[in-house]
Amino acid sequence: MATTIRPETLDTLARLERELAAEGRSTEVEALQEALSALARPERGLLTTGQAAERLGVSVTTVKEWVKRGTLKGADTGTRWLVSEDSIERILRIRKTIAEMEEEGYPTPEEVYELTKRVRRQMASEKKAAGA
Amino acid sequence: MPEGSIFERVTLDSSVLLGPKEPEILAGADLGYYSGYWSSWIVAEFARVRTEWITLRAVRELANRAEAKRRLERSRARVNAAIAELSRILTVVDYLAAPEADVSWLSDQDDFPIIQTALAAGVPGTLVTENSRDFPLGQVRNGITILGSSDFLDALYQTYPEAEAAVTDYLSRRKQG
Repeated sequence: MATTIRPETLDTLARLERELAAEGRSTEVEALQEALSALARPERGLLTTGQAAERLGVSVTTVKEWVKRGTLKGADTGTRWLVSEDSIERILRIRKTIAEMEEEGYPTPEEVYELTKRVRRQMASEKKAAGA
Repeated sequence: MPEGSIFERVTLDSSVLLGPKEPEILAGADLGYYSGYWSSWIVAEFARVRTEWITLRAVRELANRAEAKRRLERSRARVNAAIAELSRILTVVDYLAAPEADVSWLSDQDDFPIIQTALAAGVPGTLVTENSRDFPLGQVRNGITILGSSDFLDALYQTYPEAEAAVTDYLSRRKQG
């Protein structure tokens, strides 16, 4: 069964790796790096930045930037970056939603104004009726 | 983002979410260049206006009732999906919990829930709307800076020069799925 690693776990492991490195515990650092590399498999819910970039159609630099900004969940483990597959799927779904809205088209500013006014009036009177 | 900046608490009126600037506006929020807010009122308004527009268009363009019905059903499903995805980007606030404020400047009191949403999101804040007829764009009312979507995006790209390329990157290949 696939195991999903939470991004918070990655952050903790990356922090631990930095602490161990600062203490000069190279054997533990190597062991941790080996374990982190083993985690970077799609079936674990984690992808490398290269795999993430390919999925999203952007550069590896962009993927790293999006992780730093929090748009993608993941972590810099010291030796490599790992990205949560769920967060990639989230962006793909948002893009799909935007593309579908564009495909259907957008009302003209005049239509938005008229329809919004009408709906807003309806909603205001519904709210009043519900409160009465 | 710096405290007190106009990007800290940005309420998006449904007119913005219904218009062609929607993709850029949403990408900017998801990339963390500003914090976007809406309310159950704006969600309901967005869903109703979008669905009503699709219905009107289908009636106007299609003589075939079955095709019009099919298009409407597809659109309803898409609107529901859009709300689910937008809710991952925008924070919902309880507009009824907004502090009391003198909004006698509002030309149409039916617009009150929009200002309430902005007030509930927090002051100072920003309201982005396409409704230039009823809202004084470029002015501050009740601690809320009111901007059109183009002016808001211009301000965003001026403050964060890398944001425009980032938004373009975010939206790239969206049609390939």
